[in-house]
Amino acid sequence: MEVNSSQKIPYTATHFWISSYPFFETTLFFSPLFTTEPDIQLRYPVILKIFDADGALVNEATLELSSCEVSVLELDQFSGGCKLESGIKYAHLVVEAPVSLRPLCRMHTREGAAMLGAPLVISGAKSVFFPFSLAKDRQALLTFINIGSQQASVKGRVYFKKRTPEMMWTIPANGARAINIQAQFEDFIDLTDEEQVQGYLRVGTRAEAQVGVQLLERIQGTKDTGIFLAMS
Amino acid sequence: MQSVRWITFCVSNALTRTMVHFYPSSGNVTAPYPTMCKLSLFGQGQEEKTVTLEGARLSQPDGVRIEEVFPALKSELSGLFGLVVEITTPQPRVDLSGSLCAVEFCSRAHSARFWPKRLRDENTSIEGRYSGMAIRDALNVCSLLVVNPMQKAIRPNISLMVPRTDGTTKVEVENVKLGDVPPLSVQEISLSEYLGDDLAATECSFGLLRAASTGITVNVAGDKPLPADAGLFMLYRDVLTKRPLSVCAL
Repeated sequence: MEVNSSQKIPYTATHFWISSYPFFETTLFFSPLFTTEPDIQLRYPVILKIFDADGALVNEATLELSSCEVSVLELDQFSGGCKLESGIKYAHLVVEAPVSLRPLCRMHTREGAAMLGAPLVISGAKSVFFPFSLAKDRQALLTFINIGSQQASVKGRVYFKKRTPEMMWTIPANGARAINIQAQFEDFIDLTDEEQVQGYLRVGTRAEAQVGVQLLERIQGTKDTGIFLAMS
Repeated sequence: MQSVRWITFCVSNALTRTMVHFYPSSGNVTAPYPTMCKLSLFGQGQEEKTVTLEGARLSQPDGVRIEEVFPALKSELSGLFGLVVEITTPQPRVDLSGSLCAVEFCSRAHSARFWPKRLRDENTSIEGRYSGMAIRDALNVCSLLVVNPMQKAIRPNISLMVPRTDGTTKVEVENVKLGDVPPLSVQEISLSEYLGDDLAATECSFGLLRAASTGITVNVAGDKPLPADAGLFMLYRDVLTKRPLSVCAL
């Protein structure tokens, strides 16, 4: 039985940092909660909003998705209007979906894929941390999405060997940012001697802003491609 | 809350080692009060062993290689093991509920990092019901990891909502037949084999993708099943090398 649902069902907004060029592509999955009655298949409207790195709304779409089947969307088709920022095409994706349809992201290259939930959210006194590894062939990319409608200031402290430098970044309202850790902290990070070095990042915000944060690591592969990993 | 706990699993073999990273945090309290990290390792062929590490500080991230804490993992033991991580502080007024823990599987060319499952407080009831997503395509195969930290056997029941097609798609429930997971052990259950070529596939730029929503209930094994405390993880591996790429705690 297939029914078009117009019932009032609880919705929730989930926020993701997504990218389509040049390092990786993003696929969005909707995983329905398990039900023992898959014969009763509803179709729920789901709203996607894509904001570019500076927070401008560049695309909006409404889709009808099944309550029983996993739905798959390649996001490249929705993020065409986003501009390049620091050589990367990325955006802030907002998904408004019923609570029974859990959105998940998978970022992938030709050589690997990482499944991701929604990013950790920092706000007020709540800070988060990320372990990272740096090497000649590894790059750590710290990604932010501003969930609020006000510009947010974010503070990041790196724990690397015996040094703990700190930096501030500004994330536009509804916007996104990608920070290359090695480039941002180049005065403190010297990799000439060691093959691979472990470090930590502590990230927080001073204001009552809400910012989603994730860490991606890109490992240079063969033939100009790369594999990468992300905290899931 | 002067103590927080997570449950996870770790991998130890010739190619892959495990690191545990932790961040004792208490929101506005930034003074570097001392904290401790207690690690309990268990698995088949390995009695539960607990080691407490001192020297960690509030608001300062830190980490440790598991084989440095449990030297048997360097040589004698290999495979999958269960791990409970606990951060505590002797400071009476410090609330550690904002703390985080991360697990990393390190190999020479790649790593996989994930957030383990935070264990419930004593006051909250055991849920025993979980939901996840199984996929199979050119990039990933997946399996379910069940970590049993209890002194009793547990029985997971797994059901998949599989979309079958004969022109029109019909979703059916497929139940996976499983035995009990012994006390203090870890079991990996492959789910990709239930996503065969008879399932409806989505055509993507990277090839055909088959996926199914997965429901899992976990009970204490026995005549009168009760919801059990367990750690459940969806593990996504590389199709060719089978190395772990990402892990999602359910």
